[in-house]
Amino acid sequence: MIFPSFKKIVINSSESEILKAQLDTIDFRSRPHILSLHAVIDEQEQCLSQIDEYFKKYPEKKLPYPTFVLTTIESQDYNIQTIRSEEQLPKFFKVKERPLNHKETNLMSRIQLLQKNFRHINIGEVNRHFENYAKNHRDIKKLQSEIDFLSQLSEKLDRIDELK
Amino acid sequence: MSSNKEDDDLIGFRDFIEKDKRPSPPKEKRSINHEMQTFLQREEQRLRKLVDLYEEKSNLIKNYDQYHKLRQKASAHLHDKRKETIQSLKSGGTHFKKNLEELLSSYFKN
Repeated sequence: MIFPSFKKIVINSSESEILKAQLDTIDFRSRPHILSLHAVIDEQEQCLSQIDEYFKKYPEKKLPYPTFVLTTIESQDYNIQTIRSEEQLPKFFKVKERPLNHKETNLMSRIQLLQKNFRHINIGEVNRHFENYAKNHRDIKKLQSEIDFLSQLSEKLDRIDELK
Repeated sequence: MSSNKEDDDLIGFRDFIEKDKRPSPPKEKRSINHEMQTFLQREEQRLRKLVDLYEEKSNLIKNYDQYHKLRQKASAHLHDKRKETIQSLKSGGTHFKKNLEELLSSYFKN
């Protein structure tokens, strides 16, 4: 039974094949992870771009748990979440693991069941639906903004005529 | 007399009462236990909401998308509104048109 609290993984190499092999061994969908780049301090940029590429290729690994990259680089170019220190991590998943009682074990079983449900969902396809849905609604919002503007304009024109 | 009688009633229970005043177990341990249970409950709720969003809501969006109908309705409404605004601007006698004519004629006279 994997407890859903943070697990820290030290990235050992920036070489694409070794890094990919290391990322492949991690079960990102069972708990939140911290990928620490302190062992490859001079190749952080390269590692970041490869990790970013990896998550673009496998978007299903981004859910249901977040993954943070512990690095000294501050960049907005990547879709992955970076942190400078562990203090910046969300408190929610900072829970110390310990033997569970009966009630907690039941809750853990339900969590595992939901994790299994989540594995059957095609995250990439669903994300495309959501993006399309958002794009369509932005389009409708644009039309509605013009309608609102014209309504306000007609109202103001009518009011001017009434006053004079 | 009555106080002595009360004292007499407590004979045999005094040790029990004194033992009962022992300090209660530290609250910290209780709160940690509670914290773990709360965390697991919240995590379960979080996952349930995610599954609901990614399974049920995405199916609704995929199978019953209202975009085309909403867009048609908004486009028709916008078309009417534009027509109406142009008509009201063009119609003679409105103060807006008179003011605009005055402004433009004063500007272009020179």
